[in-house]
Amino acid sequence: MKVADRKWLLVVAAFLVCANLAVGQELDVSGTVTTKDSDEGLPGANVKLKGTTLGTSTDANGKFRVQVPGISKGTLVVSYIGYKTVEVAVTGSQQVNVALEEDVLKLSEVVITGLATSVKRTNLANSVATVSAQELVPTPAATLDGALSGKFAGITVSQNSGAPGGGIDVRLRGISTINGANQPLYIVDGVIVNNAEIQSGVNAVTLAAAAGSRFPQDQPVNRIADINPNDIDNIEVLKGASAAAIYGSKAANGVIIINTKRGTAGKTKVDVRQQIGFTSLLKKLGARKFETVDEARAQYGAAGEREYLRSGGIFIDYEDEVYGQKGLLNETTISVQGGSDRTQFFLSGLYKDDEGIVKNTGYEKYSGRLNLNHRLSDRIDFNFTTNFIRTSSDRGLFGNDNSGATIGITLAFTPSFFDGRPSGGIYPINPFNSANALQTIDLIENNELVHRTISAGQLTFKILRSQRQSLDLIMQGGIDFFSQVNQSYFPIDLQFEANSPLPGTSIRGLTDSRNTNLYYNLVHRYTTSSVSFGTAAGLQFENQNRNNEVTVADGLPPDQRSVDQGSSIAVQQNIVLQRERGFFVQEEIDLGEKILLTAGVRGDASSTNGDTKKYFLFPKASASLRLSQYGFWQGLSSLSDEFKLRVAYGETGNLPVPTAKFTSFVPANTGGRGGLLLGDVRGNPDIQPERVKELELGFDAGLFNGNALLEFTYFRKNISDLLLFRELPPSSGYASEALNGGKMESNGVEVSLGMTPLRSNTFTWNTRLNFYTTDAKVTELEVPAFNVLGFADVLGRYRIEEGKSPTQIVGRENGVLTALGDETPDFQMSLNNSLRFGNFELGFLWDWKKGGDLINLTKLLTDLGGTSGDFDTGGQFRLSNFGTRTSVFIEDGSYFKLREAELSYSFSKATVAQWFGGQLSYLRLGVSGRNLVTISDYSSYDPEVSNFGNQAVGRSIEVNPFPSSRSLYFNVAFGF
Amino acid sequence: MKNIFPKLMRSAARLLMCLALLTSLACETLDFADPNSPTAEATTVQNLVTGIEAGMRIDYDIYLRVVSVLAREAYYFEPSDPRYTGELLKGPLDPGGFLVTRSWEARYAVIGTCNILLQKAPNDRGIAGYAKTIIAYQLLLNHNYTYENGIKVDYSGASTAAVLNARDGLAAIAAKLDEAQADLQAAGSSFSFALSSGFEGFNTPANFLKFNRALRARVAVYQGAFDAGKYNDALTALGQSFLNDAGALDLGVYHVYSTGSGDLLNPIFEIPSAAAIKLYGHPIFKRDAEAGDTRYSSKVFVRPTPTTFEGLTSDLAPTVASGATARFPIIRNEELLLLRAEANIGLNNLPAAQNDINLIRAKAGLGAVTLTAANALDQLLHEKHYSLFLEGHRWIDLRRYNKLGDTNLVPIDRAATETTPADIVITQVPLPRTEGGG
Repeated sequence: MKVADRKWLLVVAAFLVCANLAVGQELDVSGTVTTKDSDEGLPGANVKLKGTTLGTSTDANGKFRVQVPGISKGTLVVSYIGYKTVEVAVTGSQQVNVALEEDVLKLSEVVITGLATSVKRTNLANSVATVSAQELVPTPAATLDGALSGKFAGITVSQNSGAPGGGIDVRLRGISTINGANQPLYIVDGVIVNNAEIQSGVNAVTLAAAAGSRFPQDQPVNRIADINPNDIDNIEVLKGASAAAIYGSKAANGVIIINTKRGTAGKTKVDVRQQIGFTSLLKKLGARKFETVDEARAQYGAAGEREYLRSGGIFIDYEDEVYGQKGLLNETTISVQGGSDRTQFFLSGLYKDDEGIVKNTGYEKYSGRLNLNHRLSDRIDFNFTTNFIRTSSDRGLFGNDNSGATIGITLAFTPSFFDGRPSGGIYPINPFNSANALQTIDLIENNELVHRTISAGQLTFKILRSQRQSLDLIMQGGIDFFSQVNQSYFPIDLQFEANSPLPGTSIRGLTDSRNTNLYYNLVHRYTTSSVSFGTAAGLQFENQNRNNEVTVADGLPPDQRSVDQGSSIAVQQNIVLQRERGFFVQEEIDLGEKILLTAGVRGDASSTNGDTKKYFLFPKASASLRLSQYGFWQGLSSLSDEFKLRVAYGETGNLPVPTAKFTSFVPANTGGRGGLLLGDVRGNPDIQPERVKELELGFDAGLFNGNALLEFTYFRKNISDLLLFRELPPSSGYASEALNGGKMESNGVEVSLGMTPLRSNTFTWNTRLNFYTTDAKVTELEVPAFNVLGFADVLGRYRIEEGKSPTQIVGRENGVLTALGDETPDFQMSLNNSLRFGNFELGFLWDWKKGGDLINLTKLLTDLGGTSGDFDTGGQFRLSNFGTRTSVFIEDGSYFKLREAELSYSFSKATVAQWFGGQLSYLRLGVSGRNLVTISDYSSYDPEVSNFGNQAVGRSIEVNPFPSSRSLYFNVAFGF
Repeated sequence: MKNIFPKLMRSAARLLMCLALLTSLACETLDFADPNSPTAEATTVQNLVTGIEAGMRIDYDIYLRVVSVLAREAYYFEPSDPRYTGELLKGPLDPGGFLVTRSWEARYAVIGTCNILLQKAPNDRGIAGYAKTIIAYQLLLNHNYTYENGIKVDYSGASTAAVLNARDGLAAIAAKLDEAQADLQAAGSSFSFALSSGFEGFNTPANFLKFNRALRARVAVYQGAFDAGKYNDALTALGQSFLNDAGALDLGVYHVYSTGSGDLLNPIFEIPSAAAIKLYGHPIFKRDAEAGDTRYSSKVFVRPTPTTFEGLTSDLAPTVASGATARFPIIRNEELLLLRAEANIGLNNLPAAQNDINLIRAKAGLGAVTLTAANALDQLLHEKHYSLFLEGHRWIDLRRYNKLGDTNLVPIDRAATETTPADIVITQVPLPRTEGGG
């Protein structure tokens, strides 16, 4: 056995432990893999001998060689991410060249099915969505979660407000919980990434949680926003329990697995993209115009008359004054990749600086990444990834309050004839509210600064390699650390500060968060020509440690924001400490690529469970059957060339919050002594994870000779042991208690149709239509019906009631508690198109949500302030119904949005070569936009809104938020 | 599935775990205490005593606003929460809304803590006297809210827990105060714990008992509405209380406030001349003020421009609290004198009542009045209005005498329009829905 030129040859035979080789017989195939669009070799493509575990990958020039002693013929399977897999029959010593065709329908894609195993999409028994880099960010998205909108069936992405820097809710297949964690699990390169929402502490000024709702409403960002979307190579979305069971007790809301880009061997490539754009208010609501001084007096009394006369009854459009900024957007991305056969690297940098539509608001991000892959020896591979991020966001002061301080609430109570514009640096006192919005915008600071580093490493030890068998040990470890500083400053000159007993407030929130995880996996494969077995087992250790301290200093001297300068200082600390231990085993049986059977189980113990020693088990099983591989399908193959039936079942969990099991006391001090008072919550020592059991059925049909793929999925989820916070009669001394006390059912349909209706050398059109519904019902409740969030019955609330949808909205109609709507939409639909004609590319994504109601309290507050644009025609009527008919503030939130659109022009290679003399390899110019068109009957800014942040139940309550914006970019991209 | 976990599998898993742990990860336990707050076992008696005293002030600001607005003693102009000028003045009160629930919940949280304190120190009679007195006072505030809609003295949280109507509720509160009396009498000469300066002069069992009796007198006067004989109990209790004819009117027991960490600020203080304030005196406080009444001139500041909000107008900024950390009374000598006058009116001892009323009027710079059977009650209510302005009494006082329907005392500010009905006067708060109300 001869080992030829190591520079390009990867010899798998070296691993052979087969003893009895037949002399003289040898398969020795070499060749080049290219793509159909280009003659250049494709580095990193997989070349495998079918029916064995043997294989290699192409080198920097796209060349490969496979040598297998002992056999004389076989079939080579050539695959590469994003391209259709090709099989080639080979015999003896042979040279083959393979050209791969782009796989827009993703038939050949490899999808992760276990913690260390994967399977080809053609065999997959689950509906797993994948999003590639090109699909993810054709148009710049401020945050990763925002970029997922409408990209596949079964996802609902809604922003909580238009404030720069994020705050976005992602739902996969509707909701799976009521009070439990409500966001999917995000795993980036094997690290569980913290997606916490950390309140800034501005409640000390807004007092938003001081009256109708105790729930914090500081309009936080969820921290997945930090990840740079441009670094992402692909995303796999395990939408339901049947696919995500292997992630156990954290996977009830689905799992989003993100893999960042990796370097490929060969010439070092540099890609640069510069985007410049601007953002502007999406929609104006209008304001009431006061025609006469009498009208002002009738509404506001003496102060109204005085201010009307002072300003001469002018009309000031405060929406223009406050939301009128054309914010400048700037994004620069650079990536460098390359390497040798043994070591590959990917290096990237991002600088992003977005201004908001409100003065002094914006979002700035720096991100740097280094991904390294290295082959230490023939047996050991490792890769390492590290990402450093710095984000700084200025989000203004919006949303609910009980102090009149927030900008949104101030505007609702500021009549258009009041002239609040400063003259000579003096801001007129607003007699209609405790703040002058223009002064608030100019003087306050509400900044969130995050420094974050996410690092992960993976070591693969190939313990055993033979023609039939392989055994790998895969160790994965990662750490996600961030430090978040929330600095808010309200100087003494502010109207509401000057009026407060202790003027001048500085709020400083400090958070350190550390997530670590460590996995050990063993993967064994046994392959014959007709069947292959994959066995995987592993252990998981996951820790979370977060410390949050908020210091509120009141009574500051002028121009001082240091919290130790305050005459009154209040400090709060909150520690989140959580640990999980788990194991899993999984078995996959592939019967000739016709039938794939999988079964597995994960066991999890957690510090948040009442019984920390108990391992909760989450089993799964699935089967897929490719009917089109059987003889009887011949007659039907003209109808569908590829047809697969699939069925999958799985269970996942959702952990209780770490505090649920503790009965704890809260500090209540007086007279200089430290006191302790019973907290609201009674601990439950029996608390355990809630459980989602999901059954998924579906089929995939390839149509029109591989030019279309129709996927249909029906799922049914049964959620039991629902984590609820039951309201206790307050006479017990407690307000609530966590318990596992209910059942919920949900089901839905997902249909997606991907097509390439036209393909020629000059014109290609790819399109993908997604349609999906979910429908949920609370089937059993061990507690009386209860309300979730909202402020009061008359202001509209969510109510959990047996036999009803968990997202139903109720209110009081003439004193009677009445169901008035449901937040869950009837259906959602998205249409994603990409067209290429010559050197032009055009892409656009439409997103349609039909139905789904909201509680619009912005309208109520502008009515109460007497400032609604339709005050005379509608506001008076609504006000006269306020208190007796909640329904006038419940609205339909259907929308039809052009989420993304982009048009780009790539200069031909010849032109680029002529202009730059080989300095550049490509040059592309483009224009793109986000939220360009929104069609909705919703009367406020945007039906995507949530005063309470991310909630399973309790979203879609609007209270004077930061309004949504649209953005438009011009971009240039080039590489060398 | 989870119940039939095979033993073998568990052992194998443990073995693998330990192997893995050997490699790097420290064997950290999953079973640890709440890292944020202590559990009941970890608290000290003093922690709980102070927590109870501090807890009495939590959401007391909401209570004061509600009873003051309902009585038309005050307005609360809150742009962000329309319910202070809507729901409270137009009804119906929402049994799930914070106006109904928050103060109620906070009072029972204090009671819950008192019950834990009682278990923690079962043999300390001083503790028992303190805890039971506070329980009774907290129950009384909730009784003031819900009146005939009832209170609960069964703290089990069971759905079968009895709801006591106004009369039975008051009886239970009186009994609790009497229990505390017995404890305090057996508590020795000093407490085993410290109280804040709000209890200065009342921080020994003997003196604390005077505070207990003062509350008992208030309860007995309230009971008088159902049973005139209780006015005798009131006079007895007053005799054992800190009532002092010659003493300062502000002698008494207070909540104290500070800017310290975890502490609260005065529940009603706002800078009276600030551009925007929320709490205003109702215009009748100006209308009915007698010339020269220092109680009027010292308790409101007349703002140069009246404020109009939701069709309501006032120019009276309260100055009852002198600053953000000013103390706020729980019960004080001026009320005790008026309670004695009230009990005597109830017993038809008009000369005795007249003495007390004129004592107070003299201190306010006003001349003496002559009480007659016809004017005695109105005069008493007038004095109480001015003596105890914004201290949370007027609504309860007017209700007891069925005077909430008297539009001269409780004006209907906003008449019906084409689109909106007229304001109404609410006589009692519903039981919170979480207690089975609504």
